[in-house]
Formats: sequence, C-alpha cells, structure tokens
Amino acid sequence: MKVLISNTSDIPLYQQIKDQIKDAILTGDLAEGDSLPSIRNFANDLKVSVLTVRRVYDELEEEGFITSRAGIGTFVSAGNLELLRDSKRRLVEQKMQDMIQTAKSLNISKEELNEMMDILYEED
Amino acid sequence: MLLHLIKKDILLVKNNVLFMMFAIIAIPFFIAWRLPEAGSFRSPLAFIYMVVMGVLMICMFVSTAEAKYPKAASLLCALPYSRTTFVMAKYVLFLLIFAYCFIVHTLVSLILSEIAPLSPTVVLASLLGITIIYGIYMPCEFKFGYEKTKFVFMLSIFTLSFGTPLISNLMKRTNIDFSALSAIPAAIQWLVLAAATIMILFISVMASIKIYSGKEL
Amino acid sequence: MSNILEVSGLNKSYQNFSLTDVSFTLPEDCITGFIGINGAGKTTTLRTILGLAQKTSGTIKIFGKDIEDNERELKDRIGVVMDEGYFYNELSLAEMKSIIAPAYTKWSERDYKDYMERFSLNPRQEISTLSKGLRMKFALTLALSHRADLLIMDEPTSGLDPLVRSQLLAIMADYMKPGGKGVFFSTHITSDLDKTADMLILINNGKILFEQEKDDLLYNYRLVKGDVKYLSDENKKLFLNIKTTDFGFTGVTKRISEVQKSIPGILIEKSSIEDIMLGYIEGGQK
Repeated sequence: MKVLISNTSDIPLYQQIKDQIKDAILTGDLAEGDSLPSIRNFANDLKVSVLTVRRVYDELEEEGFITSRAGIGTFVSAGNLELLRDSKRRLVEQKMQDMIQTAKSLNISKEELNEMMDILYEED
Repeated sequence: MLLHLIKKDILLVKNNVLFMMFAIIAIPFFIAWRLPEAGSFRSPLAFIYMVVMGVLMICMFVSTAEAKYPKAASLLCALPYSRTTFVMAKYVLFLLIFAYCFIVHTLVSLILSEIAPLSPTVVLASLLGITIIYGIYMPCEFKFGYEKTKFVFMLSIFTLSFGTPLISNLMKRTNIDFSALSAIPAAIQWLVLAAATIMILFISVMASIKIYSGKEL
Repeated sequence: MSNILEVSGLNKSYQNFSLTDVSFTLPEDCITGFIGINGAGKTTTLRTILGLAQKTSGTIKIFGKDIEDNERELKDRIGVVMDEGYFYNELSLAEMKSIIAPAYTKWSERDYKDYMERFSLNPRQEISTLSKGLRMKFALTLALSHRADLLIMDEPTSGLDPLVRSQLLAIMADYMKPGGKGVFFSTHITSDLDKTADMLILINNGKILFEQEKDDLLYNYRLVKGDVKYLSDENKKLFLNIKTTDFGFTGVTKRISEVQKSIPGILIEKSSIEDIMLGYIEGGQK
C-alpha cells in the first residue's frame, strides 16, 4: 500500500491519509481481511502524530471501511459493498469530470472525446 | 524508605563520617588523659562531649552537603518518598548517633578504669539535653534554611570545645547540692526524663513535618 | 481512550509571577510538548504538578486519580527528568541510583543496566564529572528504569547537541511503543517537537494560549510573505503577528483564504511551530 502525504498541500494530513487508504481499498490493493498497521507504527512511519492516524482509523471505521478488534488489530472489512461500489463509481465520475474540464479548456469536442475514449478503452 | 534516606545522609558525608566515628571513640580517652581533676564528672562529661560533638558535627556536615545541592531534595520529593519520611530520617539519624555514642562509651568504660559506666539518669539526662538542642534547631533549619541557621552549629561547637573544661571546673568549685534531686526515686527520675524527651521529640517532629510539607522546593 | 494527566484551574502566585487558571489534558499514547519562552511558567507548572510547589487552587489528576490523595501510588508510576542540578553531584552514579531506586516498587535492575550500557555510563563515575548530555542521559536512565507510565521532563534537551537530542527523541518514540504511556515535556526548542510531538500546549505569562494537536496546528496556520503596500488596518487583523522590513512583510495567519482574497501576490508557506508560537506571543503583546 502506498501512502504519500504532502506537508504543503491544502488538504489536511488526515484527509490525505484517509483518501489514500480508501483508494487502496477501492482499487483492491487492500483486500478484505488485510490488516492495517498499528496506530503507533503507522504514525511513526508516516511521520505524523498518533492523533491524526487515530482520527483516520476512527473515521474509516465509522464509514464502514475497516474494523478494529481490541488486542488483535485493525482490518479491512467487507462492510458496505454498496458503499464501496458507490465510491468506486464516484471515483470514476470524478476522473471523468477532470477529463471533461481539461478537454473543454483545450476546445476538444464531445465527439472527439468519445473517439479518444473508444480507442483507449480497447487498448488495455 | 526511611532507611534509604538515612543512607542518603550518610553517603553525603561519607568522607567525614569515618573521621567523626573515630573522634567519638577518642574523646573519652582524651578526657581521661587531660582532665583527671574532673573526678567523678569525667564519665558523664566524656559522654556529653561525645554526644554533642557527634550529633552536631555529623548533622552539620549533612546540612552543608544538602545545602550545596538544594535541588536534589526537590528531586527526591518528586519521587515516591514522602516529605514526612524525609523529615523523620533526620531525627532517626540523630538518635542513631546517640546510640552509637552510648555503645562506644560503654565499651570504653570497660577498658578504661578512669571512665565509669553511665548511670541511666545520666544517659536520659543527656538525651533530654541534646533533644532540646536538636529539637529546637531542626524546625528552624527546615523553616529558614541552612544558611541562616548554621551559625548555631558554629556557636555550639565553639562553646563546647572551649567551654566544657571551664564548666567542669566551675561545677567542682561551686559544690551545688544535688542531694535533693538524688532523693527522688531513680525510677521516677528516669520516667520524667524519658517522658520529657519523648514529648519534645514529638513536638519537634510534628513542627518540622508541618513546616517542610508546606515548603516550596 | 483515557487521559493520563488532567490539570484544571491551576493557580499559583509568586511575588512577580503567577500561573492563572492553567488547564489542559494529556491523552493516552501521546507525546505532548509544553512550549513557551523562558519565564513563561513551564517549570512552575511542572513543579506544581509534582508537588514541589504548593498550588493556591486547582486539581491535578493523573491516571484519573487526584494526586493529593494518591501521591505515593501515582509518583511510583511517574518518571521524572528535571533540568540538570537535581543530583547530589558529589556522589557517584551508582550511589545516586542507590538512593533513587528503592523509592520505586517496580524498579528494574535489568532495564537500568541496559540503559547504562546503552549510554556508555560508568556507575562508579562521580556525577560532577559528567557532561551535561551524559547527566541528562543518566536522569533518563533512572526515569526509564521503573516501568513508569508517564514521563515528565523539564527542558530535557536544552544545552544538548543535535546528535544527543535526536537520540533522546528516538528513545521517547521507543518508550511510547508498548502503548498506554505518555510523555510530557517542556521545551523552548520547538524544532524537536515538529517531528515528535502529538499535542502541543503553549503557555505564556502563566496562561495557556493554546492546546492543539500538532498536525492540526501546522495545517491550520500559514506563513505569508508579501508586499507591505497591500497591508491595511483591516487585513492586518487577519494575522497573529506581522513583521515588516524594507523589503516586505512576514506574518502568521490562520485565515489563509481571507488573506489570499485581500492581499495579492503573496507567498504562502508552511509555518513551523516556532513561527506560530512567536506569532501568539508577540501578537498577544499588542
């Protein structure tokens, strides 16, 4: 799992970490049942405060992405598949938004965009 | 707990304590040799001298060392040592020195014929005497600090070193009649002396504890 | 998650200085930095918590228990590292240890020996011959050798070279690993805290100015540099403090979006703990 955080970004540290963990879960990098590092170790490695990591874990647990069992550890949970699927959809939508915005600023038409999409989709 | 704080005091003065222990042993010999005219006063005199010098000197050394490192006492009180134990240790040390003097004197009296063994009255009276001095001094040191009170030590040691021979001569000459006091049954004498000692000790300890508990370290 | 240390409404007066209504809490598993300039009240606060100075009012709870009622039991669980000068310097390390170790019920001779070796300390050496760094390491050894759950340290890093400082910070991180512990240390060297602290508490003139999570603090504030000519009485208020030179101004602000709107052409940078601390202190003096 890759978690790279920027100290100079406008996004709060905990948000960055949370988003990246969510991404990892959504892209399958982190599978159901995988364990997450302990709060202290994670904080040390990322060079952030334990309170930040604690908040990330608390919020991810509330949102159904992970579960923690006292004495054992923190694990990725199946939780809300719907939620995950929704989030995945939203991820794609977000990227499409970015793509559309860039296209518009470069004066690429919807037809051209669709053409490009067809070509690239077949490529993979 | 208490023992460790007493050990602390002894560690602080370890260089001097050995010297003092020998000095205490030497005193009765010295008195026997230099003051033969003291007669029957020799024995109690030697004892009083041993006790006073022993207690004063050792306590002075300890207080000087503590005063050099005032913050060390702070550290110790930040530990689970209670301030009460800290105070008690000083008093127990004082009693231990007294006990040591008594043992030494008794042993010396077995060797030297000029020094007679001590009667309980003398022992208790000396204890009372030194308790009064120490009992007044300690709370003062706790309250005002060593710097302001150390002159007491200086004064006492000075007076005793030079004054004792004078006092002993004075007593011989004045022939004070102690017969009235001697008429009181021995047991009652001991009881009164012991009770007075305990009471003064108690008041002094309580006062010291109260003062030290409220002190800024 | 419980709180390791809770101070509420602490008041203490001296002739020229007072602690006024000092309140803060240390959560479990956190390294908390207590910052402030010299004379701000850090040492006084620590001494009051440890019962060395008498408070006028307020409560101090450690592990949920009032320190006045459970003094010995609580002090048994606290490791204390004070600035130098708290030893009997004429004694050897072993002798000093022989006075300190028996006070604690959970003293570990093994931990003590391990640390002595790790720091290359010779027990027979006299304390006065040790350098400041070694004396601090010895104090740390004693504090860490009785299974303490809370470490209270007063300016442990002042006067130490960067290498020793980083060693100390690494040891603190190690200490926290098993969990359930806390570290509370006062310092005016805030650069140490940039890396290791979880919580920060700023004190100035005997009053607490803030108590915040370090990451939040560093995220919320920015250091802004810009052209003096765009400063007005209005937008100056957006900053904690402002310094001006012939070449521009520098200021610390929490309201970065407003600043961005009202002042053009600014440089925005992350601020350090020191910038924020000075911002609060100098700003407060206006």
